[in-house]
Amino acid sequence: MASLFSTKPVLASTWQTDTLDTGAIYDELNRLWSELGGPPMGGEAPGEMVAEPNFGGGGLMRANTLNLIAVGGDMREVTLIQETIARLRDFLPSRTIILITQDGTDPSGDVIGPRYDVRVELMEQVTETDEANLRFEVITIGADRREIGNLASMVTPLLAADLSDFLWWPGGNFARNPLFDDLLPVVDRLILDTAQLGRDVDSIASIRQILAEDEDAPIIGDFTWLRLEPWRQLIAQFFDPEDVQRSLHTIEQVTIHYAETRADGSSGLAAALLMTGWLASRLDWETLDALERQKRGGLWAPLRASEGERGREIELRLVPDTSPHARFSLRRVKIVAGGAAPGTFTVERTDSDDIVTTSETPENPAVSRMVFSRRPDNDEMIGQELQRFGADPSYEEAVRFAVGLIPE
Amino acid sequence: MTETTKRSKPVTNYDFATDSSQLDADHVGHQFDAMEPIEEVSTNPLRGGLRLDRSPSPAVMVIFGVTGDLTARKLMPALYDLAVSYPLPEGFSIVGVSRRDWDDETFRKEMRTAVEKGSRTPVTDESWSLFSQGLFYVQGTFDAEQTYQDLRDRLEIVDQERRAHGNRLFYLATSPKYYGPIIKHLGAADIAARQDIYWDRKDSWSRIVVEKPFGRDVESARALNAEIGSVFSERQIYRIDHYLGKETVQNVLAFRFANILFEPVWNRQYVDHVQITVAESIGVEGRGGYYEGSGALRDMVQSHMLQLVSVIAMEPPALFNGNALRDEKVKVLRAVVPPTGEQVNHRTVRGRYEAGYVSGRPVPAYRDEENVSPQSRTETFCAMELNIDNWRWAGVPFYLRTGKRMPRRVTEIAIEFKQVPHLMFKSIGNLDLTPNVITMRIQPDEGIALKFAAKVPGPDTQLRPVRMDFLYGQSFGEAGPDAYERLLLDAMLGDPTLFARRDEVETAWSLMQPILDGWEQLPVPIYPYEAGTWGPSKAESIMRRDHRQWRRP
Repeated sequence: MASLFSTKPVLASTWQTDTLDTGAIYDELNRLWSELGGPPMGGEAPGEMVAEPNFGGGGLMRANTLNLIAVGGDMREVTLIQETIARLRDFLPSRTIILITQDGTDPSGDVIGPRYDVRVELMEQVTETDEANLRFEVITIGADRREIGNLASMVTPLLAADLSDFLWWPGGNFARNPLFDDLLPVVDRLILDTAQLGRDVDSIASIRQILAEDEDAPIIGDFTWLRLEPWRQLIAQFFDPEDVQRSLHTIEQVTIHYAETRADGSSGLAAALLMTGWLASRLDWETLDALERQKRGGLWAPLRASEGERGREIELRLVPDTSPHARFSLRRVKIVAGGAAPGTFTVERTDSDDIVTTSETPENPAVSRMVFSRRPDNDEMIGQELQRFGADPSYEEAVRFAVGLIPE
Repeated sequence: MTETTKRSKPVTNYDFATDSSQLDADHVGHQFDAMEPIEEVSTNPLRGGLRLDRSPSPAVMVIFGVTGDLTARKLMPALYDLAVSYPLPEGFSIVGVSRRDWDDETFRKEMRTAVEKGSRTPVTDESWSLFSQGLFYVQGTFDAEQTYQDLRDRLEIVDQERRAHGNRLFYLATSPKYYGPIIKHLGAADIAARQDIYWDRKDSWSRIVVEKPFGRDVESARALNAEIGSVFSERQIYRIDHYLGKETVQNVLAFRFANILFEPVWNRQYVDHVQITVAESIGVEGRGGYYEGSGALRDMVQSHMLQLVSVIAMEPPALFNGNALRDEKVKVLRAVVPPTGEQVNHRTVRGRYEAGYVSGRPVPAYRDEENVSPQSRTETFCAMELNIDNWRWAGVPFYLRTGKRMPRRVTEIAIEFKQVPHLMFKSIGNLDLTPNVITMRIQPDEGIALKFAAKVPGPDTQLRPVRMDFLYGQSFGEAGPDAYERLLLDAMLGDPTLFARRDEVETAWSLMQPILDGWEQLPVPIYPYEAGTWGPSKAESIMRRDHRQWRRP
């Protein structure tokens, strides 16, 4: 289906400088809005004006919603950020500040060119419906890598007042990054994607650390967790009927097929760990041991449900999967219950648009159904994340549990 | 040219402020049993923290009149969207009942066409194959006993094969004349059982969804409610008014009760008057037969517009749940004083559109529409002034108007505030000051606007009204689920919050009854208005008398 909107820059200014003057950025923004504004109009009654005519007058509205800071560590990430911002449609930031760190020296170590590249843009989202077009601001600052320690102090004055501040860190390399550490106290919400951690999956422990730091730590939104939303809904749904709920207490085996690590560093292992963490924290399971690598591939760990005197052991298998449908996330989750309430419950992504669920218990014949669950794009996930303000305790509990599974 | 009706018997006194203490607990639904949980609480530990913290139990939805337009346009696309976007559990099934000579296969085929046309979610062969396994058809007339025997047999099979556990949601998508026979047969055939509490984990549930109109006057509304109540308890009845399923109507509640800023001025101290406009640019669109028996007052004011009045004027409920919210809505409706007797003549105006142009397109007069009598006395426009006699609103008129073939489709609520008590700028002159207005647009361009005065830059003092707009579409890009989708899910979850309760419906009708009677008994003309205008000029008189004027929405 063709998109009903398109986003384009309507006015922009670009300059280079050795000294980043935030006042100059504001002046330029105001100049662009004034240039764009045109004569006041659009009121209901004769002589009535639209408020803030300079801010997109002529009936074009400026939505004051939130500030988004996005940090790109390389050109791939910068392109991803720019394309995502242009495609956003759920919840648009009023002001987006894109920070790019780049190497500003030649091979001999000499400085080449000014320290900062600055671009100030007014973007416009044009809809094909009869709704008013939306304009918003994008400030892009390319900084010499040597300035990384100063960048956070330059960003803070650029944040529009009275709005929530979101930090989107699309790359996986946030641990031990000074810019990340500097920005963290500034923002209300951190958005990242643990699927990008790749082989460095133990970095998930740094999320655990952020969560543990103090009550002022930002709330974390994780694309990997968002991708798991339909999986968690569908698994929970198996156990909504009272008669099936008994099987939750007789689960013996959980097998999770996850996307194997790809050349670009993305992997579904974080998703598998978070899925395990979610199940375990909701069902009061505990770890007996960290994950163990299997000869045939994959990982294995024993878990224990704290029921009865001895508890009940649950076998956890994490199996890498090469299917493209699994990308960044999971391919299949199979839960097998035994004992007094046996049953088999499977959720499987069959293609990029669909997930099929199947469940069977002795009392209930096997029923399959397909749900439409398109693998979300970055812009959809950012859109969803930007709408969330509260913390998700389930995620935090899942992370805490997952950390315990990671081998030393 | 205007028309009048002959004066007949004098208008009676009305007990429109129905006193709930005279009604039994079931009549009002249960506000007496405040401790009873009205929604099923999940005991599933995996539900905690999920965005959908509940999911309906597996159930069969039985749609009567399934071959009709409502099923094809609204119900089936909404059900498919719900089923494939996972709020509905696996095994969810639909049994359609109608007279048409279809079988399961024909039903599935027809429904696929409808879903492909109306669904938000793509339909693939595989997704349809799995969804349609849960579609079944029972052929029969609504007044034949055999139909219900066949239905019962079919439900038993579906229960076994699809794990519905005896849970039923009946949906009356038929003409209201069949409501009685269907309900009677459902009870007689033991397909539906009366349940006097909202839910019981041990038992299966049955609920019934009834489409408006809920009667055509207070008497018929009471009769209909009694008829439904003979088989179902109030706790099982879900009267659907899709207006309440609209996100923007719910946003009115959020605007009022999630912001402390507005509540202090939301009363007679600061509000001058309230205007509610529900304008349609369309005519009767082939539904002339229905509209002839209905008219603007029954079709719009009694249901949708009084819903808007109640959400704007009600006191803050303690909770956002079925009865706390509905209790407040009913309470404020009981305080509404409609025009009675001779007042009907000058506090209401009715009109009928003549030929004209809408958006540059010529359109016929109402009386020239298909299935409309050339001598029709049905109003396609009405405007009225209502008052609310309580501490918050005494002396603040609520002006309502609705009409067909108006210049554009718009639904809005405007709260117009009083002027400032003392204007210090008076001596300077050159002023153009209008009062503050909060406008809530329900459709289209859903949003909220605030009009206030600002100084025009310059050495002299000139004030101008400016408007600050908040558009939902600008901040929350994607459209939410269709109103039917939301309401069907709520009915399956057993959440009655957004459905009309019996006392609410009857109170609403009792408010309209004196107007209906007045129009019948007094010489109240039906003023003609040109299609493409904002109604008859006579409508201005209601406002002009109070030195006010209708807004141009």
